Amino acid sequence: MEKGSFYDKKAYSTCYMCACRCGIEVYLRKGKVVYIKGNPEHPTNRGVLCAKGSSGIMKEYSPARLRKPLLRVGERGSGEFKEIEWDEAIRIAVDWIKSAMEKNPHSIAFFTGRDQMQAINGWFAGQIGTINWAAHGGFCSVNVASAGLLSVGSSFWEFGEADFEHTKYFMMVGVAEDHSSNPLKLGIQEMKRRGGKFVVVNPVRWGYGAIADEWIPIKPGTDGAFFMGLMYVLLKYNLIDWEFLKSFTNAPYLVIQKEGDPSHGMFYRNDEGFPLVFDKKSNRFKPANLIVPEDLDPAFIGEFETPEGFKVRPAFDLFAERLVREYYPERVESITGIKAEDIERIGKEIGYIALYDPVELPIEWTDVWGRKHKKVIGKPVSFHIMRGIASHSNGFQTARAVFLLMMMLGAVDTPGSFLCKPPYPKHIEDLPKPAKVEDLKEPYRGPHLGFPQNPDDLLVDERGKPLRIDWAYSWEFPIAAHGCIQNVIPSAFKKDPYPIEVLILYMANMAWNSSQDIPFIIKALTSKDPETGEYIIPKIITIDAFYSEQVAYSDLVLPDATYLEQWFALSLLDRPPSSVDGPVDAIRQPVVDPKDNGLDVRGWGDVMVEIGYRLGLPAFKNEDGSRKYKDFKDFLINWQVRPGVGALAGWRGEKGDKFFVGEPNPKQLDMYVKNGGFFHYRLKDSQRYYRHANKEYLEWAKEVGFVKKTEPIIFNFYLENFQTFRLAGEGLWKGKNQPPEDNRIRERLKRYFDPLPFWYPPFEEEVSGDEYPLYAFTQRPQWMYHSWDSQNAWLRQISTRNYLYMHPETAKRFGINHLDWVWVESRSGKVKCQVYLTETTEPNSVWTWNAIGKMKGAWGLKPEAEEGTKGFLLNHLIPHSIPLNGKEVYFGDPITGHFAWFDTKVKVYRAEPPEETEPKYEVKPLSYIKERWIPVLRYKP
Amino acid sequence: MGTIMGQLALVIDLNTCVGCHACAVNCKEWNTQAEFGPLSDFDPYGEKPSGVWYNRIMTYEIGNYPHTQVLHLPKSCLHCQDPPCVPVCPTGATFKREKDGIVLVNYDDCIGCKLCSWNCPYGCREFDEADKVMKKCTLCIDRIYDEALPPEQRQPACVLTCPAKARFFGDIEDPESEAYKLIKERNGFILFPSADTKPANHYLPKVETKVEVDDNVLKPDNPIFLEVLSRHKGGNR
Amino acid sequence: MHPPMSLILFFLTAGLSIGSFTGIFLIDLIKGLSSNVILITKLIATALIGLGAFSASFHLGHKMRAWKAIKRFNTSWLSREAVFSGIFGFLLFVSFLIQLFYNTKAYIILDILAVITGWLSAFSTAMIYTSNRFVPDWNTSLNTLYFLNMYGFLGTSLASLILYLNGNVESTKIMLIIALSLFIVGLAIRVAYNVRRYIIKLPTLNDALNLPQNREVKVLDKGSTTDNYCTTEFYYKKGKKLLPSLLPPAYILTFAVPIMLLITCIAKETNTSFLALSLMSATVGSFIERWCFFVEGRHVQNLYYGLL
Repeated sequence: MEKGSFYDKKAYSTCYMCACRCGIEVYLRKGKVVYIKGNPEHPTNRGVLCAKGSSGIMKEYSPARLRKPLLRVGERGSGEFKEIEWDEAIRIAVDWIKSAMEKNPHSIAFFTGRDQMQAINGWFAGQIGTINWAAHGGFCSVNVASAGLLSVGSSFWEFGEADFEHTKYFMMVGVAEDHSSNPLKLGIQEMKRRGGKFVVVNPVRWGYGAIADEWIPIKPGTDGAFFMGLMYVLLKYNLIDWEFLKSFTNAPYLVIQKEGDPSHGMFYRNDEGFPLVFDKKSNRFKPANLIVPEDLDPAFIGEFETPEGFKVRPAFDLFAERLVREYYPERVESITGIKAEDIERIGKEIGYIALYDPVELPIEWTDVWGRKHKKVIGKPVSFHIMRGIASHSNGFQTARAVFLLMMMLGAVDTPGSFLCKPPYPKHIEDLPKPAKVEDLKEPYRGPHLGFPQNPDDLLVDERGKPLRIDWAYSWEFPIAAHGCIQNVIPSAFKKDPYPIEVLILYMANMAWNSSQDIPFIIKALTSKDPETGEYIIPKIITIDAFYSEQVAYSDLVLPDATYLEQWFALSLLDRPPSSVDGPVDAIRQPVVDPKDNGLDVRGWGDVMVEIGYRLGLPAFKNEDGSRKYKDFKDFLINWQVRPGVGALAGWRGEKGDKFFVGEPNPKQLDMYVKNGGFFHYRLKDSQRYYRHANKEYLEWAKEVGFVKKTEPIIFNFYLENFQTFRLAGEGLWKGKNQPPEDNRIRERLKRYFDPLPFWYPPFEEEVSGDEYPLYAFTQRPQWMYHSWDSQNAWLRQISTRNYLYMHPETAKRFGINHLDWVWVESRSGKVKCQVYLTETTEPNSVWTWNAIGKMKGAWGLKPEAEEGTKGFLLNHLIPHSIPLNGKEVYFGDPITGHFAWFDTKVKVYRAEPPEETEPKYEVKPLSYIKERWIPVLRYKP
Repeated sequence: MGTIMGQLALVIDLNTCVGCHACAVNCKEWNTQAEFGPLSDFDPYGEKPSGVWYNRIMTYEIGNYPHTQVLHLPKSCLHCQDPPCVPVCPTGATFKREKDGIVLVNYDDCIGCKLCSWNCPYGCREFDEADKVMKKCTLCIDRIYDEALPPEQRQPACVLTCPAKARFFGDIEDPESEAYKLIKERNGFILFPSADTKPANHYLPKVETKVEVDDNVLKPDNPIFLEVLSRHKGGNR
Repeated sequence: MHPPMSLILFFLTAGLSIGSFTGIFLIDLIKGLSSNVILITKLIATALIGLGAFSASFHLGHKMRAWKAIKRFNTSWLSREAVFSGIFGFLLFVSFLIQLFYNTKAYIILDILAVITGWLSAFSTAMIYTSNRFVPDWNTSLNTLYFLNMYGFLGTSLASLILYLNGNVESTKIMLIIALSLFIVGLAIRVAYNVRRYIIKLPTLNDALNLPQNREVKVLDKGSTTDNYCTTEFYYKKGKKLLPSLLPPAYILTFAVPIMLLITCIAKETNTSFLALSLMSATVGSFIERWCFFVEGRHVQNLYYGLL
């Protein structure tokens, strides 16, 4: 904490204005934060800081800040609360949780939206014993995350990113710039400066699109077809890295062709269970694990007859057939609106660069088979996908297509392509599974989330009904690897599968922008049981630092501290903030005392430790019954998920000389503080690439517990596990769990659990049809997205409100003029808003910035603030469910349950005056918030 | 930089600027608390918030769909070498420093007549209704000469924070400076040349990268593809 | 441009002051006038310029520092305006005192100097706007001419009334003829100014961004959904809407009414109410007209906001 010319204190911490976790330097003067800047030493942001991070001061001193625990006294949503002391607040929380736990711990639902301590929160849910915990991945990125992890043991965002240092071609598809914003910006500029080509595939050109060397406007929801089309071109021109497919993927593995047989679609295996390939050299079937050691020449194309008398085909052959039958450029053009010649050209470009313009680094390395390589060869083509791809009902298979494309180019964890961020990649077969239970008679200890490998891993009861309130791991959403937070309130309201007693929400604005179909959600939150007069969701506890919409609809509010006021760990156990050259973890430390600003608030970590102890949970007590953790700081230091492994990997061991594994170090946090707030372990150059088969890396990774073994990580070109769900749909699965006798569910499994990617139209096409001709979705304003309390004094001066952006030709079709007020209507709801015409939008799309429209009276804004009058929330019209074959199903991807909000289709027509958004909602601002509405803000401590 | 007579300026790379507003907000954050602050904000939580900013980002669309281009333009005082705002100031509050070419406002002499802003073709001066004086970009004069800061940190806040590294700072008259070289090598251009103010800040144009594929190495008649085609007649060609 | 009321008031009072004193001074020079008329005129003119200065000070953020405006005399028209109008007022007042208390004609020298500085002040005022290259509407000598002429017709209108009220019938006639000519010339300049406004080619957004002219450029995002200093100071949204309904009364009151009344006075019979009405009409009309002058002024910085 040094002194300087303009400050009297300086501290290192980690930003929390969005999800990137950039390193920051916080400067204080007279106890007030005067300046926040990026930490130049931090691997994530290398000194830069975005608009959100730079406005952290206005969040810290926001009028929306809660100052004391609140207990509801009026009706939900009335904004009538009384302030209570912390002791009472915690007592009430403990009473509610305890009485629910005693009856049935699963009647507690704990969902943690914008959570950066998921590992700890999930663990805490397990201590309470509820099966019902998840964070926000169900509407964020589970499609991309799980498609990646199941394909290559890694994915985008926290799992990996483009190697901007070497890439020559970077394609960003769909809304993706927010994960993660600063590293992407740094990377793209670096690549562009080297002369690389940046291609943006998006219905909208804005933001990063401005500096794209090529913009490919695509019809929403058709990206999967585009990727398949590119792979067709690669096949056509033989622009495929066969060596990569052969050594590192299961593309040559033989798939049994026996329609109607339980082995159909599974790999052909020898007696030891090794999948087989057909070796063209010896003309024999050989175990796949001998491909490299014996230098086999496995067939990728063809059909072979086994000694047992059935046919087998390489996985690649099945896929090649699909490409030539369905994804030739002319057909892809008719689906995507991208010209066939452009598809062909782009396919050639990426294939040509990967195969004929590789990167060579003079780095010696050794592969898992013991072969020494003099240099590392990279395929300098890289991709980035995130929400735009993920938020469609075909998102999983579309994301899968991207990973197959990367495999065909040999562009996974090589210089210039996609690089993993340790602890990734992981062996796909070793990914965690959700802890298995048959019913809800016992408390559930977790792990809550993971990847079911076959139908027997699902969390369903003997009738096939979901065991989780959010329908994760149900027959409807079997691979819901991040849970389905979006289904919690609808399910709890419908008491399907069962009612909920206490709903605990941490940093999740479920009453507004983190839910869809808000009129329905508000009804769910405020409806009462006519018999008892009780709310149908009886108790809602919200942990939040600001007066959000969700706070207004809660019964007990535990005011959180901000990111500048609490200890926090950005843990490798969690969503690691690692970089491609090695694992990183980091801390936040309290640099401001909220009491100095008259706020009696506590960080959730401290509150969790207190609640855990008062609930008498064993994990919070020593053997003698005494309190185990003084507070959250103590918890971060001493908590161990398994011996030697805790929240933070740096400076472990009593002397702080151990890393990754070691006993707790009482001075660990001080050492983080001293080291700029983060721990960054840089891998040796020889460990940095081809980590799925890099001997030196895998040995090290096993040592530090990132992987369980040193065998190569074989990529799933073909997702054999998915075939088990398909077989279940056909009634051929031999396991314990069988899908209900419901043709709808069985057809769903058969169609969508395709072990090879394919494109199908978003479900909404069929349901909304031509009546709702346009796709409606959100893009993310770089200056606000992900930013809790984004409507702070500075950022809101950039946008107090949003518009509906539309192509001029589309507007003409519907008789709409520039700046007209219109109704945007989907099959489930409508919103009134103002139109802005632009040629930067593809004609089948209308869109807006997300998270600008607020409920009147919330977020510390005056009721007349434009956020609540001219700004609008598209979520109102996004359905929460969809009628498929006569039954309402949650609006999600049939594999992961990922919320399909970008599927939404609408019609747009001119609206009558007044020029104000509808539907209208309003909450009363807290009285002390009103007192904070100063006419002039002159921030200079 | 110290004693050299020169012209400090920003060089902004439109080939990497993604219009994220980081520079504008970090500028606001730095400058409100520093020597030339505060930068007042009016009705900050109300219907029409408005405040003093030294730097603003505008976004333009160029051409027609599907060939539309998008241009983000961060715009702050351009520290003109022939600044029209300076001679019109009746008190001399607005002046251009000989030492480094920075155009500054001496708040103590500013009578708040706004004439300087009327004589700026770029709209880069903003009147602070609370202090009743004109405010504008100082190129972070309170950072760049602060010897208590490590040398690499003696740069304008916007330059240090820019996530797209689209902002460069230096003496555009010094052939040794990065700023000078970038302008020369990348065809740096100025805004509104017909305004004839010789703006010191420069912009670097977008460059469109194209990939040249050597068609000779591609094999449209590759046997694998042909085999797949022949086995599955559903495909065309 | 956003019209600053305090400055418009200054134009009117300065115009009335400088113009009327000049008129009386000239008539006195040609025909000789009673000391009373001159004294009254000096008193009124001093009061008016004082009122103008007071009014103009409301345009300033810091009135108390207004004296500093003398510092940039060699470059700033505003500085010159302040200096000259100050000297004008001072000379007038001193001349008034000398004439009142001393039986000497020495004040004549002061009066000559006052007329000169008065018109230098008027010229400086005009040049504040004429010299502004970034409001092309203003950037023409027609603007200077109009300002000077406006000072003329406002001042001679006032001078006519003073003369008439003091019974100088003949001098009133001369003054009326001058005034009428100035109104007619004024109308002509304003028409020419409007024609020029209509035909001048303003720079385009492409110019402002230094982009080739052959591609259409549109504002996609102003970077701020609410207004800021740049969008309110240089573009007066409400005013633009009011313009069509304010321009006709501006021209009618400034030119049509006075011209008709003055012709009547010259051709038929002069009377106080006609003269007073004409003066009032011209003053009110000029107030609206100068308001329109600001609102019509198109500042090139608006290009960046798509407002030009």
